[in-house]
Amino acid sequence: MTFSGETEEKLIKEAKTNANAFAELYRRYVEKIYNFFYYHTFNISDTEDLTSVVFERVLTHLDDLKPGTNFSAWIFRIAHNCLVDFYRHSNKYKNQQNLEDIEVATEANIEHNLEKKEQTGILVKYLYILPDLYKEVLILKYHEELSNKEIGKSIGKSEGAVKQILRRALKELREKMPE
Amino acid sequence: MENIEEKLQKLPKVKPTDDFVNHLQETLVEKHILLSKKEKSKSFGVLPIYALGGFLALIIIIYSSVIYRNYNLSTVNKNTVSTVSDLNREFQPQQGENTSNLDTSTKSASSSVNQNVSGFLVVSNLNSELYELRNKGEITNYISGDSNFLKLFVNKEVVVKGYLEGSFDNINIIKTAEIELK
Repeated sequence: MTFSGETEEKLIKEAKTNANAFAELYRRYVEKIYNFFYYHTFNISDTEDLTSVVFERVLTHLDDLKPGTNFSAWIFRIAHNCLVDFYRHSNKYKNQQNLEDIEVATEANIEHNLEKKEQTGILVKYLYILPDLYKEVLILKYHEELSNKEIGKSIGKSEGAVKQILRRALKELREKMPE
Repeated sequence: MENIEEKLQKLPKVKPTDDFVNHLQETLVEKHILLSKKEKSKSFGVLPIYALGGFLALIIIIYSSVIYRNYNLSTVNKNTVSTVSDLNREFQPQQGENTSNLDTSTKSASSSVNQNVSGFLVVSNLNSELYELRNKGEITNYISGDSNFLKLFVNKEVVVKGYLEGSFDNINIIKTAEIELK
């Protein structure tokens, strides 16, 4: 049985009991979650590990998901918690990785034209040195295209607080990035 | 020149390798199947407990109803009127002895006893049952009373009342019999 054309609501309902429906749900979100982690860790290996953990948690807690819950916000909430755990248990990023390492990682995985490559590289570098919360909110807002409300649910903050964090994050990024 | 928001929006999508995506999908599907099996076995494990609980509840209900019934029977006088003829026989002396206690309405009513009255006689010490039946109009003649004090009603009027000697069996169960009082 194929679930590719199913609505997300029906898919979530089916995914609780049907492995194929769960697989379809996974396929719809795996890239989003992968990107979310990549732009935090800038490391493929950690990104893959964290993505696996998120989907295992989704599988375990899918039964707890109440009908009508925003699945996107819910899964990014799990991703946020995984990231918090990850930062808590490993401080290696801020200490070990330097800005040059990041470029290597992006070049290996990002498909884009040569013109934009340099600009992207600069942005990624400065994104990397932003505080974790700022980085997370910027990625969710502009890369994953979540609404402020969804971001709020994901990081456990109010919509107003998300707006404030976004404003501060953009300000800091503008100040740090060269013209 | 692009502003920072636009640049962020244009951050390239990082594509996970097919190997990673497929391998993780396989792992998740296997885990999903395993979890579903566990859930099923859990629900089957609970089923006998529910069945046992239901069975015990049924036993308790039956047992308590038996106890309740026995308690009711034991509180009722174990008097016996096996037949209507017994009743009539036992009523005759009572009727005489208790005539002085009868009020005027009863006296006038008792005169009707001297006439032929036919119908159904109902014996019960549970007035509520009799009243219910009487109100429904299902019976016209019956005897009711608490313990040994009985009343014979004919056409909704007391025609005989007094103490009844002897014993009743199953007095709480309404007994009906066709009678003819003279």
